[in-house]
Amino acid sequence: MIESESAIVAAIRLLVTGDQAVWSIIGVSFAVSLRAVVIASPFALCVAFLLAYKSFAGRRFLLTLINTLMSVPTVVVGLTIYLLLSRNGIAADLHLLFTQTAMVIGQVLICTPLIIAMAHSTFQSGDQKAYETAKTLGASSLASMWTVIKELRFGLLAALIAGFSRIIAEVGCSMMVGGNILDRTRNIPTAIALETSKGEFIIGIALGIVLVSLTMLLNTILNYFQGSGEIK
Amino acid sequence: MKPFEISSIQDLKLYRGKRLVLDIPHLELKTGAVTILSGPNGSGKTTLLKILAGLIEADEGVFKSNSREISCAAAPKEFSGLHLYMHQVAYMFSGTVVDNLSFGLRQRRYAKDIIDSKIEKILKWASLNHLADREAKTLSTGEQHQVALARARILDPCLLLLDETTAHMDKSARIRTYQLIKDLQNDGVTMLFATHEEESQHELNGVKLGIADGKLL
Repeated sequence: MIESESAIVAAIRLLVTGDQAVWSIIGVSFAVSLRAVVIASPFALCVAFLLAYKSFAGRRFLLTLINTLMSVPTVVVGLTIYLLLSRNGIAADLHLLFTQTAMVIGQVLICTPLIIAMAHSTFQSGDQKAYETAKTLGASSLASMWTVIKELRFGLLAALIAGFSRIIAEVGCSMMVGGNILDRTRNIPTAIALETSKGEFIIGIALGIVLVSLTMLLNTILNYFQGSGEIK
Repeated sequence: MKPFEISSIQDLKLYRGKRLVLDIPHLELKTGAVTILSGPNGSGKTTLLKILAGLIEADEGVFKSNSREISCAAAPKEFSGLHLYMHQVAYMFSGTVVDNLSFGLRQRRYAKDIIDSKIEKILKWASLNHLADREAKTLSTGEQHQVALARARILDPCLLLLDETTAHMDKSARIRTYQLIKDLQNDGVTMLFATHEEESQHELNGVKLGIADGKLL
């Protein structure tokens, strides 16, 4: 039986004293998820912009596809990448299975549809005169797009934070393609799953505290930007 | 190559699906003159202005100057930055009035000292000195339109396209705006002013054209 209070105290002690294993796990989580968001963001924002501002054949289908991909379970994404990277897969020669790179690939695929969907909504709700004004004043299409992104930076930042929040806590893909190797591919969610399965709850609680605190922090930042970023 | 100074439009057509929404066989624009385009809501004023600004690509038509012709496909690229369109409600970028005024100059990679010099002159022209460091989005509608006019004027446009610029303004703001437009006219800027207000037609001395259902009257 867990003695909850002493377990929580022990968990906090692990964090505060800089336990190497715990902080290694936290470091892997941030390293993988931050890289995934940084890689996904430019492509996602460009696609979202095109969906909002341009008419082209297949636009509706693409929107439907993106909304569908948002709902794909992370373990299915993990399974797909596993099959590609495994010994019999077409990308076996890359030797990426059970590496952080494989986890990054998976998390990019998971967060991209979400960032596109939220950014598209932000672009649609923004004042479309911004783009026309930039264009008429001589900005190129790319410069005009960048201007719109700057004008809507708060809402778009919310999209990126939402994407990051999704992948920092996902376990399905990370477990399948990362292999949960300590100091290499064990991140917060996979560590919690492992420690809980062993009946070792203190590390799990410590990491849970980190995850909840991070989620609180991200939502606080999100609310702050959404509040101050309103068009008045 | 000299900037394209449009003098006439031939056989301009725009379709929305199968519906012909703009059909202008011929339109002359006199260099340095104001053309006042009047018509009810939905008559095609904004569409025509946006085509001339290069913001919308027409399906058919040719734009002519004294020296050459431009097809409707090439027009958006040619007109961007030369034919300046002003929305009915001007859009202000985040930042100060000076940031907005310098936007077009920064896109053209002007040197900082040239930008500062041009900003100083345009602030004086539009009597905006007292608003220079204000956040542009916090200005009144009339003040924002003055900034938008100055923002366009600073770029020495070949053609200025004003889309119901004085709508949503109180009387004093309208008077001030008409004065700025007359100043532009005296400076030889070619303008196309779309309006459905009779007052605008009386205040501005220019060629009057009517438009309805996408056709010139």
